[in-house]
Amino acid sequence: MTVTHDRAADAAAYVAGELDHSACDDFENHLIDCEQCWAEVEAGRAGRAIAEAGREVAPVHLRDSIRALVAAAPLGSAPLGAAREQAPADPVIGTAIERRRVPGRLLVAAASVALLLAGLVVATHRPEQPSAIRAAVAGFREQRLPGRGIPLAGAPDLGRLSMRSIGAGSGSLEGQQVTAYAYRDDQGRRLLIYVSDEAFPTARGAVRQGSADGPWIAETDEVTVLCARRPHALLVLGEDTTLVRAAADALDVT
Amino acid sequence: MTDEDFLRATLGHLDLVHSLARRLMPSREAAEDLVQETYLRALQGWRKQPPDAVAPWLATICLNTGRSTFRRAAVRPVEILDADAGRDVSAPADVERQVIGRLDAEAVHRALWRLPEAQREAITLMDLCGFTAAEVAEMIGSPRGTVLARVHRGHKALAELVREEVYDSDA
Repeated sequence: MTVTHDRAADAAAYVAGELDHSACDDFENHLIDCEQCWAEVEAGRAGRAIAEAGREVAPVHLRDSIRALVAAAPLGSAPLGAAREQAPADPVIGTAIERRRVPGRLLVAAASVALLLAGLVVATHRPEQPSAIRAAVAGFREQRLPGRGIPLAGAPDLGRLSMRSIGAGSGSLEGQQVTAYAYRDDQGRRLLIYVSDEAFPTARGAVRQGSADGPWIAETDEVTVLCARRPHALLVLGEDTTLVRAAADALDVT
Repeated sequence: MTDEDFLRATLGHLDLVHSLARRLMPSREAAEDLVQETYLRALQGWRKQPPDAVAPWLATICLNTGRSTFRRAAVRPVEILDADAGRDVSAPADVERQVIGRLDAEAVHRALWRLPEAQREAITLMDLCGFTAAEVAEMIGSPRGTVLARVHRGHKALAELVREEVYDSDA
């Protein structure tokens, strides 16, 4: 490859992981000798790490609000922005938002009552999960790694599922030493894999696959958890059960 | 395709839309309003013709809605002009890496809001939403090279902000 020496463009594509295999190899060879490109890449990586530290999960109440709003949205209604387009700038935008918020909140309240009633039924049967499983699920939902330790092993390759690694860290999961690997695909689907030297506790409500020490699968708080003990203790978490199972297959633990 | 299908197809991307809205709007409340508006507009589109790829479709609606409606109400952020224009950059020192490790989401949010809007948008779509430069280019109607350049300048500006934080905390 002829290095174009457009430092920013080369470094940007490299840091973004958007160079093809051959171009990537050539650029890495070039980095060995080019201090300026190396500095560009390091600065780009630092900025990317900062940006990724800003990940947040949507608040739970927002999900409920959207469900309520969708349930209330009439078929064939006028374009939603129409009222706002006619409105003057700032104050009326606020009013328009408020206009939507009021019915939204009422609907949420009504939906909450229904959910509460349904929840009362479910809650009596909802099993309390072992603390490590609860922490693992919370880590998935909050997109939080168990620690900042540098993993001893690289992230397992889930490229055949189009899942790319977006973060990894070692730390403690309720006292159990684990390494976590986070993945995401282009559709925004996520997986989180925990690996440990110790066995994970069995989730309440888990359904075992095959033998007594075979993998189990459970669903808690809308997160699917699959656990395998061989060849090592491993948890795979995701919102898409099919994807979780496919990941376990790809890792050859099922 | 029913509204329940819509919810099934789109709620899995709520974190993505929320992340994007948080970087388009200055406050949590405004971001949540933008998310709701995005979903309502998406529902209208879904009822006419469900998209082939849900995530980029939702992100595009969020971007356009944020631009067309809510942004007028947004406070214009303090912008850093291209922080590294015309000069070389130095690689971040170890102490800065430690600071990066200590940054919380709120601090990152504040730092991102000090970037020019185009850079913040491009960084959010690529780093937080996971889209490729080509996908982002299609969403925002700019060439892929422009997207990569914005992301890279934004990355370096963020690193510069952290560097300042290190020096401030040492002072």
